[in-house]
Amino acid sequence: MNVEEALKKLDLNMCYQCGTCTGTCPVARVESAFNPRRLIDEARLYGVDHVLNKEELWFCTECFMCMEKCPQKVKITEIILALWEEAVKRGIKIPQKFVGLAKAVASTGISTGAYGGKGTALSGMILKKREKLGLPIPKIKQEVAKDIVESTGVLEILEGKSKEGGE
Amino acid sequence: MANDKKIREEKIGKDVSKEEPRIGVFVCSCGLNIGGVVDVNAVAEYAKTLPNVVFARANKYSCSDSAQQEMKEMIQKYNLNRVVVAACSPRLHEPTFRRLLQDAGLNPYLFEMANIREHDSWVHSKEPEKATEKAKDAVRIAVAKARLLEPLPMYKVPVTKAALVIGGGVAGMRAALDLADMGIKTYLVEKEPSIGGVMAQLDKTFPTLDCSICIEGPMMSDVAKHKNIELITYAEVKKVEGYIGNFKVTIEKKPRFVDEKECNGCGACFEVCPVKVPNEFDKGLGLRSAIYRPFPQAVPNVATLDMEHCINCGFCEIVCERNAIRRDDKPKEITIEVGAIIVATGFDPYDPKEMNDYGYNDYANVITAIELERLMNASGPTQGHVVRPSDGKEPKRVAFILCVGTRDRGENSYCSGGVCCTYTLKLAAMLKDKDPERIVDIYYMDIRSIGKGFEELYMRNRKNGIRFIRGRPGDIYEDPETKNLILSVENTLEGKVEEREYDLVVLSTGMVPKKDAHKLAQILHISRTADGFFMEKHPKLAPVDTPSDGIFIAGAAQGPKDIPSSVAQARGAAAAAAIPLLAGEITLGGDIAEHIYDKCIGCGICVRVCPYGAWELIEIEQDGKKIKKAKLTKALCKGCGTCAAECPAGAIKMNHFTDEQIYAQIDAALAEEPENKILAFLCNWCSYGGADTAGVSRLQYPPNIRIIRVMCSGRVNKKFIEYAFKKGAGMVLVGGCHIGDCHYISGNIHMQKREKIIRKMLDKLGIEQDRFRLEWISASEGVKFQQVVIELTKKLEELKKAGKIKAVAK
Repeated sequence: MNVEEALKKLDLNMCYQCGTCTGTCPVARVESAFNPRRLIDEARLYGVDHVLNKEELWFCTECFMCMEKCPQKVKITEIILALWEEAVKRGIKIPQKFVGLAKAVASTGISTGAYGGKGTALSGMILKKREKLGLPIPKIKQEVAKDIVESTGVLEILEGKSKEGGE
Repeated sequence: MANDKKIREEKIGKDVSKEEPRIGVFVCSCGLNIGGVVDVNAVAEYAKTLPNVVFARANKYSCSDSAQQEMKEMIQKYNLNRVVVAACSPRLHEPTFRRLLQDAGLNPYLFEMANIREHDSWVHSKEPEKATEKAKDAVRIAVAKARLLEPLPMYKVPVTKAALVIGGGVAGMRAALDLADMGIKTYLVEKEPSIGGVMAQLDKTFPTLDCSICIEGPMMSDVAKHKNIELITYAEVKKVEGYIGNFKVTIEKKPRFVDEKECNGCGACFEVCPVKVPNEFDKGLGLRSAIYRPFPQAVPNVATLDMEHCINCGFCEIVCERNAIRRDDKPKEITIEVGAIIVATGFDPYDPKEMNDYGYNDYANVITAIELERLMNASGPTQGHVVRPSDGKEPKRVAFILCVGTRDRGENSYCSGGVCCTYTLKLAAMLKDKDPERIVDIYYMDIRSIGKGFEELYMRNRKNGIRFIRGRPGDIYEDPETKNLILSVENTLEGKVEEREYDLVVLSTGMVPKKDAHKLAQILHISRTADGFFMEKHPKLAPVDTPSDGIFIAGAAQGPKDIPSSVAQARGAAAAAAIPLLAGEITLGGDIAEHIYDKCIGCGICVRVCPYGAWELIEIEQDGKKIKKAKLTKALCKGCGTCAAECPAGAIKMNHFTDEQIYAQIDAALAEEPENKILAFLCNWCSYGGADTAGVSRLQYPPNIRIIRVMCSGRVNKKFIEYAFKKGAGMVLVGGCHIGDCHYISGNIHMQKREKIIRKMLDKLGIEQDRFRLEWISASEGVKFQQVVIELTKKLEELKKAGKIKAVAK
């Protein structure tokens, strides 16, 4: 199945441009370049090629809020995932910010940015706050994350070093 | 149970049952329409060679007065008792010739038509010889059926001149008033303690902003006072039996615990009752006592005692001067007889509790539009002062969110017909009018406010500074201290995410079917569309009818609708319902099912497949044992024949389309070179019409198709297919209406299910699957019909070449 067909199956064409996705998107609130509604519109109006090279395509954090709220059941997050896959397949250069994020997952097991090698979520400040609120301290098995990242070869793929050409 | 007791059978025409068939065949030239291609004289000569044909002649225009006169004379002269006319489509002139037979003293069902124009001369205009051969075949098929035609009676059904209207909202009231004004005794049944419906809850009406109860109130009292209307409130329809003209309806009247005749609505009891509970009429925003009247203008103007909350203090009894309290009141059953029923049960405003979004379940200051109506209404909980629930302060900043619970594939995917758009425009205008300084924002995707005077309301709002922001809010947060609400929304025209703070957020919710609509649908044997509203008989041409004769629909019960449309539809439904009631008698044709009692095994399949509830299963005693038998109510049968095709015991005879008649037609159609023929069973309403359209459009196709008309594809028994292949048919086609378009609601669905069984049977018989085809062809799809015949002919050639179709020995 080519990417256009895949997007159709994810109900790309059902979008009626209400903007609920962007209105609920935590990224869009702080980064105006990222606008899932506009991505959907451009992907179907101007074609996949038009959006694949956009840096903001990679700003999505896969929180699934948009998909949860979409009144037309457009699988927005899955559409963005499909676009990522297509970009990798085509060997399109992936923004360093995103590669850095992947590296953080590889080393810390969590995605919310690198901080002191531990990730923001486990920074001393956050840990103190958690203690105060009586929240459990997350235990992340960093070896497991490392194993997964290594066995999938995702870092090589993202950095364009994979011999298999990103498949 | 429904029964045919009241039906009067009327025999028409002289008795021919003891006579041998004496068939007259008239071959029409239709000017040059047929005669220009088909050798009509040769066809007439050929007809004379067919069994039981005692007379045959070609004429110029069979439908002309002179030709009809001549036909009448020939019927007398040759003592004809069956007539075949080979001419145009029976969809056009069958009624004409049936009348002619009746005028000539014959039963109108002793007539058969051969279609040699739409299905022959017009579609094979360049192959005159083959067209003539096909015309001969068509006549042979018609004569084969004519030999077996039986006179059928007409049924006269007397009508009870009374009507039932279910639902006392604006649509139900209007329908009841119209019927009553026509002199028809009308029962109006309302579930709630008062009539008035949702309209009574509204403050103003769009687009003119006139007071809702001021225009509805007088109508309510007209209903109560009308000498022909019997108002039955606080009651529900429990059972409906019978058929058009003769319904028996059982109504359950809930106990009001107050004597409606004694109570004068003085209200003294409300004052003394110490109990206070949320008032449903105010959507729970205000309070009412346990003995209450939902609103001051209620009709009937009587109290209702809510026993669930009553603490038996007895204060009401002490103050009631008329001794109207009845603590021992019980549910009462009322039975009425009516000839027609109008369903006007209305709608429910969508309840956003279900979607758990927009903070409706969590934040006090998020309310629905209907709640705002109650706040604005002078007789509402705040006497018309718009305040916010959290602190009773007047909101200075108000946001409306459109399309809540509507145009949402997770809730209700349909649009509520612009009603929410327009009431939002109305509410916004009123809020702005009361306080021009107030900020009123409307979050919208599209403004679908279509109606007389609606655009003017939209213009007025823009002029008054109401802001329209295009975007559906993604999130709502509450400021825990101020209880203000913060909306996060993408202004999609700007492509910017904006956050705005409001004192009050109003959800403009859509219209949904009544919660118990499915129950009423079952009671009445009417269907609902996918969205849950009651289904009309035809979306264009029969918008107030239901597939069940004698039952009509009006107002928002049929689909989201505003007041003017509801009233218009109510008047339409009343007029339609009055037709049989004022005519006094209904005539039903005899081409309906017939039960062969002795063969019936009581399996109940007919009960299951009949979309009209014409069949039921009853238990009887036979030789000391209890056994089950089917029972037919003739007045409910529409003659699709699906039951006859499904009956495993052969216990159902489909009159005028009997098994014997159809087998005879198959024999006649396949008498010569059956391996080169496509035998088609086409339903009267769609596929046969599609073939007619191909003719009218002069679409040419190969002349090897032979058509047998049935009323519905549901009639096509799998045994017909088996028989046709055993007789050597090259191909067999079954044509029906598209799914959802069946004239008999579900006949084609039963044919669709049957296809699987037929395909298994073909495997067993060793017949190539490609030789059978089921197609949905609408009456407009002449091109599709042409293409199907071309394709099947090609396939036939291929299969013959591959040795997969062989001639069977005669």
